[in-house]
Amino acid sequence: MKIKIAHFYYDLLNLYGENGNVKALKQALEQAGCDVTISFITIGDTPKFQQYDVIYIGAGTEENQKIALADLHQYKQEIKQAITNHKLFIVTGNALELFGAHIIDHNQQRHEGLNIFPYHAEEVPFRIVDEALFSSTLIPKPILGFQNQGSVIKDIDTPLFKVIEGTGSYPHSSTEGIHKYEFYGTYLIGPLLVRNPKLLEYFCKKIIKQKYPQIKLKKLTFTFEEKAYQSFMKEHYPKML
Amino acid sequence: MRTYIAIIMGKLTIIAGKLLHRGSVLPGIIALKFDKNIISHITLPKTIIAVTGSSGKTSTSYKIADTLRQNGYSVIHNMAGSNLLTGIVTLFLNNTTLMGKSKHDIAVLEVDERYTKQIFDAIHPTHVIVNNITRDQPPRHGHFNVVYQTIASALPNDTHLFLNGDDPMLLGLAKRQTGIVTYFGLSKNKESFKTAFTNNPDMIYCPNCHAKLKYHFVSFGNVGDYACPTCDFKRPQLDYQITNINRNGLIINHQYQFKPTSDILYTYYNDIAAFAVCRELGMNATDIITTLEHSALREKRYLSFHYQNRDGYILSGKNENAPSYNQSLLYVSKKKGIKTIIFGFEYISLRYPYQDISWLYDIDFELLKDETINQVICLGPFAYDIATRIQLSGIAKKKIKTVFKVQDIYPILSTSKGDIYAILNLGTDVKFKKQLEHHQIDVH
Repeated sequence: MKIKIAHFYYDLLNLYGENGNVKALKQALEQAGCDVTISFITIGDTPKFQQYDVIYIGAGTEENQKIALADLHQYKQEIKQAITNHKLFIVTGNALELFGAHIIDHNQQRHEGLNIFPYHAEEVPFRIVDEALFSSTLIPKPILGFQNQGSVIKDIDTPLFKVIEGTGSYPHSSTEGIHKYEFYGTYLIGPLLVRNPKLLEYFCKKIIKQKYPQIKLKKLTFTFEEKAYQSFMKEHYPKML
Repeated sequence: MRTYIAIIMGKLTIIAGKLLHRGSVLPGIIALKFDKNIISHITLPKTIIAVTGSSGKTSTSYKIADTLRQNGYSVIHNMAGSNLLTGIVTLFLNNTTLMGKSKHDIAVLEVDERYTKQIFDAIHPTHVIVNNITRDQPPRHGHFNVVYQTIASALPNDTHLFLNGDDPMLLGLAKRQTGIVTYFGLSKNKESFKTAFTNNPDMIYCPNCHAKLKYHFVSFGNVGDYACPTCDFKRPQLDYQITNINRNGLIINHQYQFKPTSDILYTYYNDIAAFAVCRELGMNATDIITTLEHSALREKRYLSFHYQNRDGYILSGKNENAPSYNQSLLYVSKKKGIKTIIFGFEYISLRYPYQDISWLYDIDFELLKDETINQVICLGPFAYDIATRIQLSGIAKKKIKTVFKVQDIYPILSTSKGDIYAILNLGTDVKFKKQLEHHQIDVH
């Protein structure tokens, strides 16, 4: 089995340990028996969207996010086609804003998004910095994460997560993220997949199933990841165990 | 009258604090309660030197203050790291007459990077030194660009600005300045790299035209000699630089031999910054060097010990600050022979309760991935998170051990091989040292 991961803007949208997500995906897919390559794509490269089995983009500074957005516009049609054709996208941090209609920055300037989804983001004069405990329909276990963002989205109608504890897409919201087709976007930063081994396993299976539907997958083991998850839950959310 | 009361109340608190043996920022807090503009009513020293940025503020400001003081200047300095407005008001109250007159010629102030706006507006520094802006404490700062914007908005246009010319992030700070801008930095030396190799460089795209910067060499992270391939954005001409590193120490501006009190590369930036400031204030180069060479501030890269005929090193890192850990890892990666690594901390931060571990992924553990690694022992309450990170760097799972309590490290350590490199922080370092001493192992 051959799997190709594309890590977009690895050197520009790399603010909160996003490389951890890509490394975790690679190791997990290898454990499942895949031969994995990662294409690191940045400004000036020529991406080949058909070749990638999964596309990952992470969080950046507000400034770098706009640089990436300007570059991304040239691939708008290809990306739209890929998403509506159910290509798997895993998007963390403020990168999910790129796929919406537009971003209003802190100077009230409007930046056109890829307009694949109808939501819009607004930069706010404060940052949401918070622990997150969310639930999802993907896996039964709660999702652990961390938010650190200077912007909010209030108009997503197909959220990825429900807030159990924490902030969500905007202060006092009950949901977070976007899930449509096979596009999974969340404001949760950095090593999200590392901290949630069951979610990592879920995505691994999805990636392999999409390409090799006939393959029966063995159970994956994540010793340290599971223990880290368990000990965090035990310490901070003992009632959830 | 209000100001007068504020000064008196502040001073009374200082006296009370001395009686209670509590040197704190309380006098500043109380004085600010009576008059929030108290600083504008105190006659401040004529020269106010502010040191800010992500790392090295305490060392750099200490070195400047010490050098000036040893050479006859009358200097006040917020030594204890009390670098918020309350600390600075306390310092001025402590050193002012009842009529609000300053008793000193020069104030050297370490200023918290996120409070620069508030503090610079109040004290209008005549000299500002920015050594670096890097990834540091993300839950507190958001990110490095937030810190940059804060400092940029705080700088008085007419101040004499001292910038580390090797850090591309800082160059923009000079843009609106009408005052003098002095640049300092490091030339290519035996510790330089060809390219920025780090996992997550902070800024390697030109801020003007967004082309990827090219490097002639890198000192660490994205700090080095850079130039934009398409526009004129590049490392500026340095006014003060360490032009060589040799067996006898450093050479400043091709001319002055200088033996630093530290053996860590990034601390040389603190030395050259201090040299630049003192020189610009009119001091003689030899006097500056003599004082810096006799500085009581001695930053050692490591403490050493011996364990069962194995060499041991305790290296430091600053949590949530990958550049500091990367310096230690770089040092370890260059050492020859079989290695056992210990890595751990008791808390993520002493400042706040957030459990953000994203910064572990900014640390280049990948540097360790070679056959010299015998074992990596992940120590303390975050052992599993650390173990996960280390495993993702490509180090084999069977080489990674987890130990939660420092007292349980002995059995594991005795089965491991090679020299021991303990990279420890926030409490685990102290516990580890105690544990060694408990076993009659001398740490020096």
